[in-house]
Amino acid sequence: MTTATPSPAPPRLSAPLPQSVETRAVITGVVLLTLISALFAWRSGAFGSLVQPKGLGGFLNAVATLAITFGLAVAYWLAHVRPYEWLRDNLFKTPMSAVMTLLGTYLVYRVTVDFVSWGIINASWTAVDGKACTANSGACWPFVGAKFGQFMYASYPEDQRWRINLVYFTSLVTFLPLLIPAGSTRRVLAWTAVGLAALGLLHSTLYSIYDLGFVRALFEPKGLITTAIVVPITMVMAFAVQKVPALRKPLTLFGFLVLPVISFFLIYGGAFGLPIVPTNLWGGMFVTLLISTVGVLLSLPLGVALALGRRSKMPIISYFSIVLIEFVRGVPLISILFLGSVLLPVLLPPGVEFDAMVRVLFVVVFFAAAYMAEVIRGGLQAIPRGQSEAADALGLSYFQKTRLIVLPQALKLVVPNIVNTFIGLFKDTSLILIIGMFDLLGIIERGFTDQKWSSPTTANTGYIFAAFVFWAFCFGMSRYSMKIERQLAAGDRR
Amino acid sequence: MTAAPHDTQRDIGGSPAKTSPSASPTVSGSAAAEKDLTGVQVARKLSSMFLLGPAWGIAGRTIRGEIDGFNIYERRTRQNLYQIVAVVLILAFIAYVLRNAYINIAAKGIKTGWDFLWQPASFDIDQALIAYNAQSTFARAYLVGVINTLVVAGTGIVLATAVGFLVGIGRLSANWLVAKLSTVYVEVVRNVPLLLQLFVWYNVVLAALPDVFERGADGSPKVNEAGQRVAGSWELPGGLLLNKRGLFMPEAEWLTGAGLVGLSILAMFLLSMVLMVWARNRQRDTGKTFPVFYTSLALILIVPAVLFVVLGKPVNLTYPTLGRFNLTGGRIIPPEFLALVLGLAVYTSGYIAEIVRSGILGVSNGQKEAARALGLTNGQMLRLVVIPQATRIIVPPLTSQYLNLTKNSSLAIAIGFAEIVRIGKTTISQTNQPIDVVIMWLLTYLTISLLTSAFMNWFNTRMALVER
Repeated sequence: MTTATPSPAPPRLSAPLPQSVETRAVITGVVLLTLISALFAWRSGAFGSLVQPKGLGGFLNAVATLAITFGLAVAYWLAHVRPYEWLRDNLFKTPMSAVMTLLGTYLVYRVTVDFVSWGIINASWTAVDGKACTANSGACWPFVGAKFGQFMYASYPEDQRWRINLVYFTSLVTFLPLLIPAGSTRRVLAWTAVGLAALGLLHSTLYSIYDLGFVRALFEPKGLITTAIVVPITMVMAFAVQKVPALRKPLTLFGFLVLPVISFFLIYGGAFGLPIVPTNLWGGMFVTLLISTVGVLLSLPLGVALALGRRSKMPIISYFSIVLIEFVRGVPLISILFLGSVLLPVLLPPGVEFDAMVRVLFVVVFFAAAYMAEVIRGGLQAIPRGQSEAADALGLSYFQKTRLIVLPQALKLVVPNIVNTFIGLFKDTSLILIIGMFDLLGIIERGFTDQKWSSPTTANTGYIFAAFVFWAFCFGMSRYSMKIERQLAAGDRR
Repeated sequence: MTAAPHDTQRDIGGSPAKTSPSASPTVSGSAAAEKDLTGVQVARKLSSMFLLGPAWGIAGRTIRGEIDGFNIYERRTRQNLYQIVAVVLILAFIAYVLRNAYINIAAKGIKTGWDFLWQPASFDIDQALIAYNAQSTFARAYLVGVINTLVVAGTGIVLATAVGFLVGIGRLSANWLVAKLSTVYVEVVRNVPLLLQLFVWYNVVLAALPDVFERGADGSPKVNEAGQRVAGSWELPGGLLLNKRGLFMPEAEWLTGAGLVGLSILAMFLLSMVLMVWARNRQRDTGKTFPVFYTSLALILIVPAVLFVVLGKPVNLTYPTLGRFNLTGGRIIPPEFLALVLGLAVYTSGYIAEIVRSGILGVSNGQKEAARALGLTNGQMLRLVVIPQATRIIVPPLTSQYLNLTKNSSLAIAIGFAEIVRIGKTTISQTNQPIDVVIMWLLTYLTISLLTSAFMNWFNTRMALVER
């Protein structure tokens, strides 16, 4: 009599979810928050009209939503973690530790209370100009809402802004799938779901209080249609690149060679019947992104050349590269910007005038190339010498060896550092304000001079908004680079 | 087949052209000398030397690598060729650029030349640490800027290191709250641009400081019962007053005897160094430890203080007093300086915290386990085992952060502090000689950064020696 063998476990369709308690609590919290806030929003008629502020009832809705969801998340946490032991070991282990916990709690309390009272409770949400903002002692958020278009596009003509949006869209669709590491199909799905849930949550919670201009714009028909087009296309591209790895190379070539040309013509104009938009109208977030992206893209080949030149065995080439790199790294970016705007016109052939934006880009690419060269040199040093010796044994020439063996490995190693350089460049673009051009910070400062919105808190509101935008971008990018670094180091872990 | 006794690389060309008679240049040269060649025949000969290529010409022999001393298949030859080409290109480029510069300078009427440095500058600098007035030369104005830059850099470095070390060690704390707060600090400070942080410090934080006089609701100064204006500054210990116009300190006028106190401080420093050496030797010989740090601290603080009191407090302090419109007397630290130093210190401290953390984590775990096995407490382990080894990892990136702080002080132009970039800009607008001023900036910063790199290299070499 044969015993029945147990049937094999059914094939798992997906890997198990992360096990850490905090992650589970966060995921549960977000999902519940979205569901409950959608329920409340529907009950309060949010999907009906998109115009009226909701008053006290809406505010209570939002508070109730948040309280219920966080309460559920905390209850989940309490059920799985033993709070007394955790508190004792992590916060109160020694008397010194207890003192620091008390001080830290006081600090957190003061900062949170001050921030919330300045930013939410005492803030003006419905003012129509600066005078109305003066009534409240807190932030003047309608200033940000009214000038949001200015902050993003500056003086670019409003009817031509679709060109910039098209460039953003094509860059997103091209580069986002490339930046997601391979084997992340499930994660792409999860993050899209979380992103959409967070958007829904933001709308229903904020909307219950008041409709902020740009939040409302996300959910106006125009905003909804844009989201409905952008998100599925990006997701499809991301999935395609995940499932068909052969797509990466053509997409990279497209992104580095074809897309810049198309973007240039789209932004500047002059082809396909598009009117020319002169560079003195460019500004705001658009210029920040432009300078940092162009800076990093163009400085990569130049940085590779400088790094290879520095490591060259030909003394003249290596001294020349070293002098260039150390000169550029030894002086602040401001002085190089002044050098570019003051010295460059003098050094050019008479009669040749470079546009101000072109001069700034030239200088920024040069500056970034020196730092990029050091980053790439670190990667080149990390490749074992055996690689290049094996290439020599195979009879490859210097350029073949560099192009096929050494550089691909070196560049892959230093991707996190390249992203760090990009983050640094993104922050440093705010310096162009000193030579009279407008990036995000410059445009916000220009907004302070608008008489219509002058009030004691306009400047503070603007600065805090700028700080938040920069922080969100830079923090996101630095988390990404840390993730890539962990992935690359996974091969070295035992 | 025996290998011919010439360079094997020549065989890559493949043909036994070496034996052909007309391949050697001397033959055709003497051939031309022997016979009286007509022009056409000379042309034919020349073209056969250069144009007929693979079989006979100089070009062919070059390609096949048969010319002695110039074998293009040897790497050394190629490298020399590339370098010669590179030098020629660089020199040509420099010549071209200089030519453009001469033409443009003449055409646009820009002046160059260093005479302007000795002309009187006609602007005032209110943050000068050395004697300066509107009649001083541009050179002196620039010197004021350099001193200001160095003072800002020095103060900023000290503050940034202190805060950075605290936060870096705090990130590794066993206390969850302290660790998370340090992480939040580092992530906020590193991800917001420095220029924006400076603006926030200057326009938001320092603007929230009180005014010199307390003001009523309508903005006019409050008056107390005696009819005097009420002071509004924050009072800090030591007689310091903090308000919108800056930090007011008492002006110190040193009398006779103060020099002796200064000398005693120096003497105590030297004594503590002697004490360090003596204590180290005693520990090496007998194993007994000596509390060097606390003893030297006591010596440096207490002995000069006692001397100071015994000599009858030889200092005249002039405290700032409330005048009609402002505080008079005393020294002022301008709010621009405060904002700049605080902003730079906070920004750099975020980076220093990360460097310190990675340095401490870089000490292998075995060291900490061994220290614990030997019975050292946490504090002793940190002080005697971890930090000395972490120092080697920390110092090079730390030095480059110091350099970054010095370079970032150039952002002071945005908040109006008189360091070299701002003074330079004013100079440019006065003298219309932008090129020279930009060159001065570059030279100043390059000198500072080269000195720092030299120090770093010296330190690295010294640490390497200490290892074995």
